[in-house]
Amino acid sequence: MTTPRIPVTVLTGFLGAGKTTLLNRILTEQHGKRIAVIENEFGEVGVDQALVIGAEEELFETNNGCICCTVRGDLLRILGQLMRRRDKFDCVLIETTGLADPGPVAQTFFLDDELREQFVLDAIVTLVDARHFEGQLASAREAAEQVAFADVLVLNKTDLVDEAALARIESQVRAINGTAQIHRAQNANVPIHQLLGLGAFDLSRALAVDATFLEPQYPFEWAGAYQLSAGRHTLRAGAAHEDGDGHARAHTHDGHLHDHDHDHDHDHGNGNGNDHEPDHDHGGGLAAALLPVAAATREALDAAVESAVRAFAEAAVAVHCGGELRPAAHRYTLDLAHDGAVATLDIPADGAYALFLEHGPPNGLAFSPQPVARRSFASHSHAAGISSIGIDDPRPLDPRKLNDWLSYLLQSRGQDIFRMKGVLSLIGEDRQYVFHGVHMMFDGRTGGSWGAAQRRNRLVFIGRNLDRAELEAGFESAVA
Amino acid sequence: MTAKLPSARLDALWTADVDDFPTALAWLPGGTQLAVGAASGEVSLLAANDGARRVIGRHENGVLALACRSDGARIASGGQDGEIAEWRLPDGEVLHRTAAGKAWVELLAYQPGGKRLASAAGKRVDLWSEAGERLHGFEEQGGVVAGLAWNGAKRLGAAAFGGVWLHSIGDGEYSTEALPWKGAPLTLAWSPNGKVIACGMLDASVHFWRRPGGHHSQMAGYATKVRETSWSANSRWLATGGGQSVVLWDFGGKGPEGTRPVQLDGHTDRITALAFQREGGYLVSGGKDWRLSLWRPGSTAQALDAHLLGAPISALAWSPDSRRVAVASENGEIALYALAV
Repeated sequence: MTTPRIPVTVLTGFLGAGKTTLLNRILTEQHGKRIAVIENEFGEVGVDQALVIGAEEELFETNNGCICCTVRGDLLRILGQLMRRRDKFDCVLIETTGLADPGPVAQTFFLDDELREQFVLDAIVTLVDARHFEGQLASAREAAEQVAFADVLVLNKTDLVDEAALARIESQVRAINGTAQIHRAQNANVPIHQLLGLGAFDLSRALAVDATFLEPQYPFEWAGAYQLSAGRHTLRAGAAHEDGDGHARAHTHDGHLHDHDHDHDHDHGNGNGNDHEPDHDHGGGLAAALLPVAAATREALDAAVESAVRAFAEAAVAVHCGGELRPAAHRYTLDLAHDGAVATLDIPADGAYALFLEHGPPNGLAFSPQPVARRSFASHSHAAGISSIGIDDPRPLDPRKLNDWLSYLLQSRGQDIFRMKGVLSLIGEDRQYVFHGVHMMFDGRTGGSWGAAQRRNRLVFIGRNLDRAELEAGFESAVA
Repeated sequence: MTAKLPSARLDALWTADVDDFPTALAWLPGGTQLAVGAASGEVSLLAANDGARRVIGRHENGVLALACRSDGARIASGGQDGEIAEWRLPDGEVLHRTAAGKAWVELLAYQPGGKRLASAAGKRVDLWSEAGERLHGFEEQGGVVAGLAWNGAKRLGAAAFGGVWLHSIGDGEYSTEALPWKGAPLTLAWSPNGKVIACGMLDASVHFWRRPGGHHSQMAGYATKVRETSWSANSRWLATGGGQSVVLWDFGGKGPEGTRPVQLDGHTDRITALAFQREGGYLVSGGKDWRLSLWRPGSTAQALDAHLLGAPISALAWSPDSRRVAVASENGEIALYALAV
């Protein structure tokens, strides 16, 4: 094709996340782009620089019921007509309904030859309402899936929650999707250049965003380094004072998750973590480790990671409500599941200490003083079992073996793999091999030359119940 | 060894320009004019003798469908504005415009030999009177209607995701029979003898049902979705696209189940349009390779003639007497060819 393909941005997000606000802004702002907007309700209006087309979602499922082959019939029709217009658009924006599965939208661009020739999926943008996200994540599978599919995640309405909640949401988002760019916004005020024409499926950029997903997975999500004086310090659940502005917020927005049937008897066995639920209900106990460190710095935290991993591998010591924990090379399970629950840190000497927590940042956990340094980790457990797994390896791959592996992987696990991206180093090839996929759909091509850059393979898988060992073994089988 | 090949060719008569992607093409029954709808929204009439063009009206954001009434007194157009317009012939005066609903009007078909007009917009199929009043709305379709065809004046078929719905139209009485199939049809082609309903499918197959009764079969193996289906006048051949080859299914014997189709090769890119003569056995095909080819199924698998046009071909239509064929290309060019046998 001689004409460049028209980039398509897919906008997802629950009802109330701010999609309409964002759309209206894009339609009225002077950004010099001619945009075709496909909305999820009827109404066809020509705005100065845009054409707005209403569509009713129509899923074309295949006879075998494979979700990976489901496409959006309405988009096939509408984009089929858009292709015929002489006054071409600079970009297309597709708004999906609140509970829509982004998979079929993306697959439509992979499966249809004609659309693939004329359009290119530029990015999936997911809007999240900071106020309601945690509840949605716990109650609706679609929330985690929309996050998993995202190239860009707009954390909207940040003015309605405090910093602790924002940090917590970002950590939850990261646990699901290790590669999405996260933008904070109020009234969906994200600069348009951060949403349109990103080339997010153009991988070199997408993969450069955040490397945490490439790290091994840790049994903890959060660590903080503290400077503590000798004596007793209280950890308290149910109120956060971190912002110090006096309005201690009761975490009512997710309170219902935490007030199951916990009375104060605490006779539940202290699970070793295998009974915790994906909705961050810490009813089985919140795993934690308290370690002395050289200094209350990020560097000291990093240095303590290995000790913390070992501590988390030890048998757990239960700390009931009101109980104590001391710096030790083993794991604790803290009973902090309900408002007002407390635990005491018994600190033997003035110094720096690191607290590693299974889920973080502390969910409704107040602790004074503030951590001096903190760090988030790629998590081991996630909403609806959805997570990201990255592989970074310099060894060149054999194209035929790679094809065998990916074909097998997509056939056997395609339903669970929402997104897949990679930049690969193939033996005997001077250029990068760039690929991306949505479920079973896969698109790969040679990209730019490696030039002076260090040749290496970087792959990311985002999906449900991903098995790192299986993916690594598969990768190993493709090494030349 | 060599049988005598039929010699036939297509001679270029004229070309005209409608200035935008032609989305619909239809001959008027007398064969003296052609109606063309364009993505620009213009509805125009072209004189068959020299291609002189006259714009008679428009649909905001694009024309999607055109139909000509068999008495030659009217044409109907529908488009992205959700409206159906009827135009008087030969002068092209608008008779009325009707809002069919919220959805695009994507398909139109006049009752053969009659004056009623059937339309498809979204999941609805509507039947309209001569005065532009809705006589009946068929809302049985499970999805957005992608194919609409009459067989005789009393049977109307609509294809949508989930199968085909057959509507019977009596004197003020309506009934519907569903032929379910979980798939996404893109066309509906009813054999002239009424015995087979064929649908080109999104999943690169052709599905057909035999009438009466509902025996159905699926023919797979296409390279891509099948959006081109055309029956020969004698109902023996179903020509299909869905790739670079014209694939012909022979309904003459016991087949086509269990048989291999005839394959006509010559295009170097996807077929985009197919049309059998209304009378006679010649077939024309148009492709994304800008090529127009002439075939004689049953005689030879070689193209009898081919022409290179100025852009990918978007539509083909034989004149009522089947002696001329109009070719629409994506660049807005309309070309007329005469069949010389």
